[in-house]
Formats: sequence, C-alpha cells, structure tokens
Amino acid sequence: MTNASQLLSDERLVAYADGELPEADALALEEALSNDPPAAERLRALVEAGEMARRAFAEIVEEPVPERLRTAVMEADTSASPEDDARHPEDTKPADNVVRLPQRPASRRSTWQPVALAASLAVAVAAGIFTWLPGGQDGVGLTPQLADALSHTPSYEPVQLAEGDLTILGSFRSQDDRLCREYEQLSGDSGERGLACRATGDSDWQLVASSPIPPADQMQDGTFRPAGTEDSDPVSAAVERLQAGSLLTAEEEQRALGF
Amino acid sequence: MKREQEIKKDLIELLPRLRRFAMTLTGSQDEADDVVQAACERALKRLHQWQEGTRLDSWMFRIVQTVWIDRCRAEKLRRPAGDLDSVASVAGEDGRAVAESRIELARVRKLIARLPEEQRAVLSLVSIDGCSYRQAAESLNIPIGTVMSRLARARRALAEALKGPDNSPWGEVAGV
Repeated sequence: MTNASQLLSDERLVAYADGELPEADALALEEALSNDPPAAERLRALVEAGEMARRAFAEIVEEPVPERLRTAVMEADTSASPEDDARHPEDTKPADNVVRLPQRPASRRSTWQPVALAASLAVAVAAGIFTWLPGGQDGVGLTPQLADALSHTPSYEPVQLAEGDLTILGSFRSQDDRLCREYEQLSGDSGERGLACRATGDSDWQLVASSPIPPADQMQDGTFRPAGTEDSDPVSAAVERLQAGSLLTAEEEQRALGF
Repeated sequence: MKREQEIKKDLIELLPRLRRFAMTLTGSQDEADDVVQAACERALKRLHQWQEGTRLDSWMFRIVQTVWIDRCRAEKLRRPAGDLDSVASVAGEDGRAVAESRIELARVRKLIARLPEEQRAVLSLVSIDGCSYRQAAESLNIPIGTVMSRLARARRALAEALKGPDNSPWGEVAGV
C-alpha cells in the first residue's frame, strides 16, 4: 500500500469489516482510519449496507422448505447419466479452487482440513504430465525479496514487498517431491498470481507459472464468469499438473520450510 | 463416497441456504425453488463428481448458479429480479416499527435486485450467507481479489442508495 487512499479503499474497508484482513493489515488500517473521519464514515456506511442485506434476506432461511423440494431430493435418481456430464462439463472438474485452496483464514486455522486429491492425481499421473516442467530456470521471474518471503513466510501471513502485498495461499508437495507454494501479489487494483517450487534441500525457488490478476475494473464486464472459464489460467493449470497431495497443514508447512 | 442417503440428508439441511442464494439470483421465490430443485437433482446425478472432504455447500452454490445461468441462457432472458415483494408478505407484523422496517427491508431487496448479477452473487454468499471470501471464491470460481472488488462495489452501491445522494460519504464525485 503506497498511500492512505489505497490503504482505506472501499475494498479494504469491507474486507476489514468482514474480518478478512490479516491482522497486521487490520492494525495498519485502524491507525489510518483514526486520522480519516470521512473514511470512517464510509466504513460505517459499508458495514450498514452489508447488515441491511443480511437482514433483508434473513427470513427466507427461517421459512419452512416446501415439501416438494424435500421430496424431490429424497426421491431423486442418483444414477449418473453420461449425456448430462457431457452437457455440463463445467461441473465435472471439481472446482479447482475447492480442491487446492481449502478455506484457511488465520482465525479459523484450527478448523482447516487438508483435502485429498487422489482422484485428480491419478488422472494426472496416468497422463504422464509430471515431467513437463523445464529445469534450470532458477529464480526466473522471482525477485530476491519474493524468494526470501517464500522461504520464510507461513501461508496467509501478509508480507509487504516493493512490488506489492504478498500473500502466500498455500503449500503442497508436487509429485516429484518438490515443495510448491502458490501466492498472490497485489498492488493497488491489480497484481499477479504465481506458483513457485523448490527441490528438497535446495534453497532456490523456481517460478513454475504466473498470471496477471487484471485490474478489478476489467472484471466488470456485466456478465458472470461461469464455472470453468478460468481453466486456462496458467497457475491453475500448473497446480493441477503438479499437485501430488493435499495442501500442507500449518505444521507440515513449517517443517517443510525448516522453521 | 458417502452413502447417498447421507448426502441427501445433508442436502436437505442445506436447502434453506440454497433457497436464499437462489432467491438473490432469481428475485422470485417460485423460480428460486425451481432452480434449487433442478440443482439438487443435477448434483445427485453427479455425486461421483463431488469429492468427499470438499465442501458440499460450495459445490451446491456452484451448481445452483450454473443451473440458473443455464436457464437464463435458455430463456435468453437476463431480466432483473422481479416479484421480490412477495418475500416481504410474511406473517408476524405487529406494530408500526416492524411494518416500517419491513418496508425498508423490501426496499433493500429491490436495491439488491438492481445490482449487476455478479455482484449480487458475491454479496449473497458473503454478506447474506456469511461465507468467507475464500469460500465465495471457491463457490463462484473466481479469484479472491474479484470477490473483494465485487463485494465492495455492491456494498457501496447499496450504501449510496440507502443514504441518498445528499448524505453519501462518497460525496458527489464518482470514484474514490
């Protein structure tokens, strides 16, 4: 964050109100907020809007569910139909995010469960795609600061780098037993997602894939991005190809990083 | 894979949340129920695609959204949410204050219905259902940064509409 207006952007105020800012960010925001009454007023308005939205739809969950819905579920046919799959391939791929990035905000770390990836792994192994990575690209695209942060920062602990705010989203071991970490680096409205790996005993990270995160404005195309449209993202594709097991737990990650 | 009957029971427990999510997408309770029913049937036909250990609710939110998008495509119709007032016609009013707040809440539903649909979906999952940003990102298959920007836009639009132009903390200048 380079200045107060970015620090106190609507996005960050909302994330702060929702308890989604990492602690250090939240503290910095609070400090900036105390000197900025108009921003405090925006925060109040944003909180109120969220609360009104919640209340506006609160009663619906209390209503009895129509019997026809319950019946439809209990009597539904559970035999798979292949045509159905073909028609909706977007459901076939389990949400890649779901698989590799289980919910793990710092405050809920204790409830986090690693997720097994046996099925997708088997497919990937069968396809023989674990050998595709070119070697010898030590540190390509990685600044020393980023490499250093990858070596020393637990997932979800925010780091401020010259290029922007870094959040490491998770760690896992690739099929060839390298330690891989996915990260997001945000600067203002846009940023970069990346995936870096290193071999056991090696201190150098290799950038495996990266992709730009477009400015939020460019996301406003007025349409949904239906499930599956982001399959072509190089980072997601690389994670899918490399993924050997579940995301490491916080403890496993610490051990893997050696601290 | 869990036994089918257990998953059906889990699904039934999810129904109220799925109905609410669908309601924010469709704007009509009847259509929301149709969408939820179709989504449940679709999900149960494809149980083999659900990975045990991943969140059933995220998977279901995703399917509800897919079903709804499919319907919109089929109808070539992306109309704004319609008969939202019907939700407000629930029993239990006693007294003026309650009635007033019901009118206010009905107005909020209308305002939400006018938001762009991708903002509505994020607002629904995070602010209304209480999902974490990460779960919303998983459910909608979008990056977390997109969740944050859509949510901020939705909340700001709603806040400005609720406050009115004269009291908006964003002032009259567009953008911050």
